[in-house]
Amino acid sequence: MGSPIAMTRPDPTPILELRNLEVCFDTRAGIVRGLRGVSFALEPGKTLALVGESGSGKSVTASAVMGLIQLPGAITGGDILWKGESLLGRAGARRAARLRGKQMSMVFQDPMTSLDPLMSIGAHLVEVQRRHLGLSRRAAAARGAELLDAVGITDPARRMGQHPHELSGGMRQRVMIALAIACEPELLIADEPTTALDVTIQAQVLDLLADLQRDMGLSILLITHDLGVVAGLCEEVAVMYAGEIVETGAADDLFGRARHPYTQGLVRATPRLTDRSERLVSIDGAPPGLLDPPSGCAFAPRCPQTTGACAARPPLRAAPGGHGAHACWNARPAAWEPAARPVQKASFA
Amino acid sequence: MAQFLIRRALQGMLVILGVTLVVFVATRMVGDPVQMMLPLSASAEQRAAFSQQLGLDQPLGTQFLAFVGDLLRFDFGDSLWQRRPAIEIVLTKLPRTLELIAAGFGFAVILGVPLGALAAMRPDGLWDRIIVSLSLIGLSVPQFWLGLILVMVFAVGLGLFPTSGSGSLSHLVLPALTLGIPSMARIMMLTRSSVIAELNQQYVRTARARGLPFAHILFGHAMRNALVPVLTLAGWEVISAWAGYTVVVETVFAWPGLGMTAMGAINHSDMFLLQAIVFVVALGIVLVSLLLDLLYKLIDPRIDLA
Ligand SMILES: Nc1ncnc2c1ncn2[C@@H]1O[C@H](COP(=O)(O)OP(=O)(O)OP(=O)(O)O)[C@@H](O)[C@H]1O
Ligand code: SF4
Ligand SMILES: [Mg+2]
Repeated sequence: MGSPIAMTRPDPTPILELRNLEVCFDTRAGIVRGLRGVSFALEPGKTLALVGESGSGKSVTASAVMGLIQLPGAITGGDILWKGESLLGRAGARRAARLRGKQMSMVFQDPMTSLDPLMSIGAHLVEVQRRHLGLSRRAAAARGAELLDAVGITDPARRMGQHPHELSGGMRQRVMIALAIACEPELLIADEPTTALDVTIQAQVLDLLADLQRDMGLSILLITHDLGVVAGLCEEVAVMYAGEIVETGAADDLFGRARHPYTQGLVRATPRLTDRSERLVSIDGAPPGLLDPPSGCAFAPRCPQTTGACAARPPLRAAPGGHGAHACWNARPAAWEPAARPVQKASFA
Repeated sequence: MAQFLIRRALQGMLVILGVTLVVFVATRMVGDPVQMMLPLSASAEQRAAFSQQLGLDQPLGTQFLAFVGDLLRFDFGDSLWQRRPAIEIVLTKLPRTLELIAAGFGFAVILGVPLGALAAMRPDGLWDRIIVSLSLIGLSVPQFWLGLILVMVFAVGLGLFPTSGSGSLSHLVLPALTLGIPSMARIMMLTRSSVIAELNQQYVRTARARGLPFAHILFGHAMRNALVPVLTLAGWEVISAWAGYTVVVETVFAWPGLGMTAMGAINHSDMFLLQAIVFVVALGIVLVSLLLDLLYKLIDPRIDLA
């Protein structure tokens, strides 16, 4: 199966590549087509943002990569490649089991419920290190305290003995990050890691991720709603809509050079912190249901540029002469002035 | 912690005092022991003398104070029925009942918890269906009837165990099963639903994302969390067996424990013996619930004992 997109330069093998990934949920109401062909590639040491409206399939994508899709869901097509090797099928599943928690790890959205309430912070840290690094209890505890220190938790020795309910949300998310990096992974998937946190804490956690990436050479798949975060933290962006990728490209290009009408709408809908007077523009309408997805372009009912061609499903094609790809028959530069990048950039640089 | 223990001890004493007060009043309404104990031909003087000997001629208040005073020395007076110290009878019967409860309840927990967890691993799977059906049967059968069926099948029919009495391990099997089966069914159902709920928690997903094997997540995380509600039920099972179900079972199997003795005491209007039994039962309930609170604290750090 050839890669349907040419967005990656030929140089390094991507650490993670999705090819036309499909996931279905066999529910009572019928088959929900959660992912309908998702393709993107993440190069080593880079950060790729996965953005899109609620329900577009971002979390399902992350779960699929982590091997966490559970019944009634199943991967029904496509492939997931780790450094060029499939993680699907029998041999692939064994490979994935070896990677999970060690070479690739994940931080979830809700830090309040992500820790076992009956176990101390230290016990969580010891558990994962004993499992994957074969450390002794004592060595794991010592290293656990260092990890807490590394993610910016003060008084780590005391925190090791505390239980999750004794920590604030921001603290818990730092603990989750410490757990995720405990075995020095190469890939970190962060599914809206800051959504549940206070605004000030959000920035701190994102700073922490940026620091870790720099210090550890992590590759990060960052799922977010927040285009400001994308601009600040990410090199690449993949935009999801109704279970598929509609545009990929460099984060630097996103704000000025988005080609897909949906991406353009998203950018316009992002409030710019510089200019409070500017009105928030949102995209009218709602995405189609995935129980019975349309056969043509899924964005058509909301798209200002629809033509007859849009009754057929547009494939994800490399943008002519550029770095990136989009799935739109009538792609063209945005009809508005290229916007200045949101100012949040500064705080993560 | 110490503060908690002291407070609970005081509460416990209040409970016991309240219970004994109720029993004190109730036993004096069950029937007149003087009537029961003396032959019909006894003269009025003889009756008065006997009444005086028991202290029943005193005003109720005085009787109660004397009763509480004796109570503190574990002196419940002599049984009217068996003519020896009531507490002595209780202490000889107590081990029999404890043995029955330990066997029945041990059976219920040792089978109920693992089977419940097994069912939870694959809801609607084959094991789940079998286990749930069996526990529904166990839940819907009245205890005395269960006892009779067990006797008919295993004692009368197959001759595997004695029909009644005590003294050996094989005597214990059927009464313990009769006591334990309904408990086991309840514990199994609750363990099942509780483990299913825990396995759907976010912390289980994150543990899976950390690459921990399923068995480790089940036994190391989900089961422990699931046991918090199961512990509540288990405590209730022990208490209700201790305070009532053993009477049924001991009666069906002529098991010489506290339950049978209580029935005897009631039949003989033996208020002193009955008071001693009720006191010991109340004390047991208080101790079990204290033990439960301590266990909660041991399992769940969020529980604040203060
Ligand atoms: N267990 C499930 N059963 C049925 N459908 C599911 C299940 N999980 C996800 N889906 C479907 O998959 C689609 C994508 O869900 P997903 O959680 O990935 O969205 P998301 O992009 O992460 O949204 P959000 O921004 O709200 O987190 C949803 O429309 C949902 O209907
Ligand atoms: S393919 Fe057509 S409907 Fe779809 S986004 Fe492009 S112009 Fe709009
Ligand atoms: Mg999501």
